[in-house]
Amino acid sequence: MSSSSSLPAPAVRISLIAGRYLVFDPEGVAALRRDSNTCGTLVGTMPQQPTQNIFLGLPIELRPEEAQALVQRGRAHVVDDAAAHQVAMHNHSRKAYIETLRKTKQTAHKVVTERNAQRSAEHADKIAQGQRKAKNVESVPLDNVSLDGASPKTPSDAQLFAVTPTTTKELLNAKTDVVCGSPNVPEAPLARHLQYNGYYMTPGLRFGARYSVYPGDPLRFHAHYMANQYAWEEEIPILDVVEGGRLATAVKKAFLIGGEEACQPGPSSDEGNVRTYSIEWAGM
Amino acid sequence: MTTFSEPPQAVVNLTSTVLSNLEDQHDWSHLEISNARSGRPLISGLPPRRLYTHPDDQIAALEHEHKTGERIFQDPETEWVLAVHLAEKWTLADFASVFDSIEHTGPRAKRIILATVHNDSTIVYYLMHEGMVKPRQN
Repeated sequence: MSSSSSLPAPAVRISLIAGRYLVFDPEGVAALRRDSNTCGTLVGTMPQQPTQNIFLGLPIELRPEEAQALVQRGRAHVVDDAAAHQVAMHNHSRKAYIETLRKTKQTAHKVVTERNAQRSAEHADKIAQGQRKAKNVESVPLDNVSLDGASPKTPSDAQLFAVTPTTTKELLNAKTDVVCGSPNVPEAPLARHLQYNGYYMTPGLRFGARYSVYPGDPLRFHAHYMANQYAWEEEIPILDVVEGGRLATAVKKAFLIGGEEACQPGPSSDEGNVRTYSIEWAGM
Repeated sequence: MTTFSEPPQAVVNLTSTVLSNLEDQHDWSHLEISNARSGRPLISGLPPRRLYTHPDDQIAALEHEHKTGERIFQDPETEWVLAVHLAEKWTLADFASVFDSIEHTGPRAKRIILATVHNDSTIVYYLMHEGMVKPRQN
């Protein structure tokens, strides 16, 4: 199920911001999806249209237990983003960042200048044609049509456009990253078990459980399970089992319950000793 | 749930209710109650028709039938039934001890039938498999 390649992929950078685990890097998102069966949830909206929340984009948000499992598998590392920015601002990468901002401004200026030049050229062309028609003259020399703004000149910093930076990617690098280790969240053995075994998980809300579990990429497969995690000695009301079974069977899935068996003698794998049970309606 | 040598009367009654339902409403045969090591009695019995076919076996059966006209995976299999009341609370540990008390037979994962009894004597039956068993294509 999981396409585990022999090459160890570079760990994906997960930014911890205000207690949320986010991935901003498109390549990281692709890598997580391709190699670590983790999709995350798109949560990014547009800065100028924050109410537009139907089509969301980067970053993706990961559930804390997903981030935890990824770190344990060595597929990602979590960075305290605020601290990383502080570190970066207090060392030499600040200068480099200011330089990239200036370059961005210059590029923007150049693009706009070129576009304006092209526009006025087209405009002049139209005027010339109009004159030709009005005068009913076969040809008018275009020499007298001036092309404004066609000569790009290097402007001073003051003349440059103000650019709103959309990323601080240039500011941060591996040196400034403040890695905070494995997320300190409650253990999620079921999620870890599923992730280690190549299953994809999405939030289970729409089917009435904690996770919807897919045998492959959710774009290619229907979910097979609705999964809930329980502690080994946690009491599960039978009514919940019946409800879960009903809900899952109604959408052609199985209801999966699972948890980690406590104190099992013998060597414990990093995957843990998770036992799961699949429940579906018996049809009688 | 503590381990009983003799199950309490309520559990005995619950189990016999399910047993009667299987016998009279669902036409099961060879019904037997065994006091499993888990402390919870289990009913074993033979349904009139095959109760469960794994989706992969289903595909194989259809293919086989298409090729040869012969139907396979049709014979009923002996099933284990666990009677529980709707008001009960079970833990994963309890379920594990029930599964550990039954012998593994056949190529597929262990399974039990969870018979859930309500006070109005409604009984709903659920298949419970050990491990991750993909759902049937109903």
